[in-house]
Amino acid sequence: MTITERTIEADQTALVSRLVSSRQFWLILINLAVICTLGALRPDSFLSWINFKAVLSLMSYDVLLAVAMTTVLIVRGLDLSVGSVLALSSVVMAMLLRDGYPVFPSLLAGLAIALLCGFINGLLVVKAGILPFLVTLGMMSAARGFATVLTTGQYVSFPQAPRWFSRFARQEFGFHIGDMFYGIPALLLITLGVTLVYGLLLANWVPLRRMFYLGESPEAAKLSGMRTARLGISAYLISAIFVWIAAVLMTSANKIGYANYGISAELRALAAAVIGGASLAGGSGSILGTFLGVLLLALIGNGFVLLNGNPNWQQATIGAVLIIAVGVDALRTFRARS
Amino acid sequence: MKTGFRKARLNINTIQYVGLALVILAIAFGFQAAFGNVMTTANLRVMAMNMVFEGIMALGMTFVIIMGGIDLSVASVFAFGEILVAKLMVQAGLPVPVAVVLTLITCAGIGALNGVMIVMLRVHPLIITLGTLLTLRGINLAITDGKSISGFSEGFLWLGQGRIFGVDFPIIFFSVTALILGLLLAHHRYFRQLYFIGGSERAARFSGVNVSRVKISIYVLSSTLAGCAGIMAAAKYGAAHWGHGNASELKAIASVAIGGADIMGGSGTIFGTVLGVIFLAVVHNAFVTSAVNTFWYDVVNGVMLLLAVLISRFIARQNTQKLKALRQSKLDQSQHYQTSKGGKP
Repeated sequence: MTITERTIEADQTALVSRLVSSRQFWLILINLAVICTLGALRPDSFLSWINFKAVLSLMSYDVLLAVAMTTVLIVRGLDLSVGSVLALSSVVMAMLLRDGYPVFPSLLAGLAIALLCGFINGLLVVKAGILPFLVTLGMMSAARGFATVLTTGQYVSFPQAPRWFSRFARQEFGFHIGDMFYGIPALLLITLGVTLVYGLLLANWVPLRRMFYLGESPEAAKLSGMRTARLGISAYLISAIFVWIAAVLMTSANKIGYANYGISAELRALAAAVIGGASLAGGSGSILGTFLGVLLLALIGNGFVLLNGNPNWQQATIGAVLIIAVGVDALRTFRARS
Repeated sequence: MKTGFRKARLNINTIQYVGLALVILAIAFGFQAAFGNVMTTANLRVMAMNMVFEGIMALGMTFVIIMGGIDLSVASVFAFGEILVAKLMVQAGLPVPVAVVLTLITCAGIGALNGVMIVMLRVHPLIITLGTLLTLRGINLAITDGKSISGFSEGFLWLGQGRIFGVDFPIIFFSVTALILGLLLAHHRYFRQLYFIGGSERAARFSGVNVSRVKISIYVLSSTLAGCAGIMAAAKYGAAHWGHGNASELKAIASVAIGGADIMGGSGTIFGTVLGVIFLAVVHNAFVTSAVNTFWYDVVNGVMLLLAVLISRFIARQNTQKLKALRQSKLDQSQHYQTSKGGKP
């Protein structure tokens, strides 16, 4: 055996052990296990393209919000206001569209609102040093309140808006395999595309990598000359951008703006991010993990519906999965320590 | 020197309480002057009954927050208490006292579960209690199928609607519990430990405080109080529904924060929390009586929370600055003393 062969072998074992110890690997396995179980129990209804499409489209908003949550969790923050900022942004866009403004200025106004909320959050957390939990709790209440005040709790429809806007999220891009036609809604494509690009950037692009450093140890980051305040605030701004994308897709797909969009979505997003490996202590989390976390929750929910179990139990499983994930983590760190 | 610092701190806290009380009075009398229907007995009763259940939860939350924890699960324990007591009475046919006691024991058990998980897993209480909140809310929804349960006996309804000397029982319960817990928190040795744990858990552990036991017992207290509130709410509304008490955990936390407790732990009083509860009740009521669009309530709620936290942050910063100045002056003095004696600097 030559030296190169040996190193390659060592590399391979290192790779395998790293893979086995990585969180994403286990999440993929668990997701596959859930898919196989459901597929075996309900082959017709679960393993159909229509069902997959429905599950994936419904979870895409949660994916975007969970990605937003992961971003702020990485810098040791927290954003409870994602659900209500989604509602506020959606309401603003829908009202502008209803009043006959062109599509792009309306969308930009929605983006501006979301960024403003994110900026206030970031400023109060980073500059004033208030706990993110409280800041975003206040923002959650205030943004939802503003959305309700603006609409007086009514749906906002926009019949005069250009047709393409109210259609594009549900527009399907199809491809044929054999006789079957598989259509993928634009909603899902955009979500997956944005998430993929952002996940790659977050893992490889230095300015974004710095956020992990900041979350891991704010003191060290500051002492090593990073502009920690700017970085911290920009995490909240990035989070706001993802919330805005979710708002645009939701407004377009449902053809209305509504102040009650995304109620308790922040809790689901937080649960999914934590299942995916993010931590309130900052410095950890990955987009792939978060995506798999959302997928796991969505599949379990779908399973409850398909197995004719009481669909009401679905909500209880989110909490249970969260606690189990946290428990497994605690066991792992405990074992690593001893 | 130490007493000097304590005095300064006391003053700042008093200023905060007086300021909050003045704002409450200003809002109440301002709206009374403008609309003339605030200070009627009927309105005051409505105002108190609107916030009383969140108030009872806020009392337990104060203990948890002083200890440096947080308990999001109170909202679902509240609804669970409602549903469980209703199920035990209406569907299992148990007599009222047995059902109430069983419900309270179960709620205490949920609190114990929270506490044990937080102590054992060493995960932030926010995550653990979020898990309990979601799980229990799902269970509430599932075991009732989203329907409400009603048909209680007269004796049970008294717990929510009965009056003693013209004051509703839940309000009496709130006042008495606040008084007892406030006195205990201020004077009893066991509860003084909370400030120690909230200030620095490590230091508390090293100096022999049984941190785990204290933590678990406080989560039990918080859940039990939420269960009490749930039982009385079932009696007040005459029905149990899984959607009751949604987002009440946030109102309870807001009351504690407005009352001047530092959410990082180590400070806060029951008196402050009571003021915070009254403040939220008065603000809500002002919107209702003035017939301003009540949708504004959420906005004001959020903005007030932010303002209150900013103010208490400011006060905390001043406190630390004073503490640092004090330490520095002490240091200077001792150095001066040593150099004047010719010892080592």
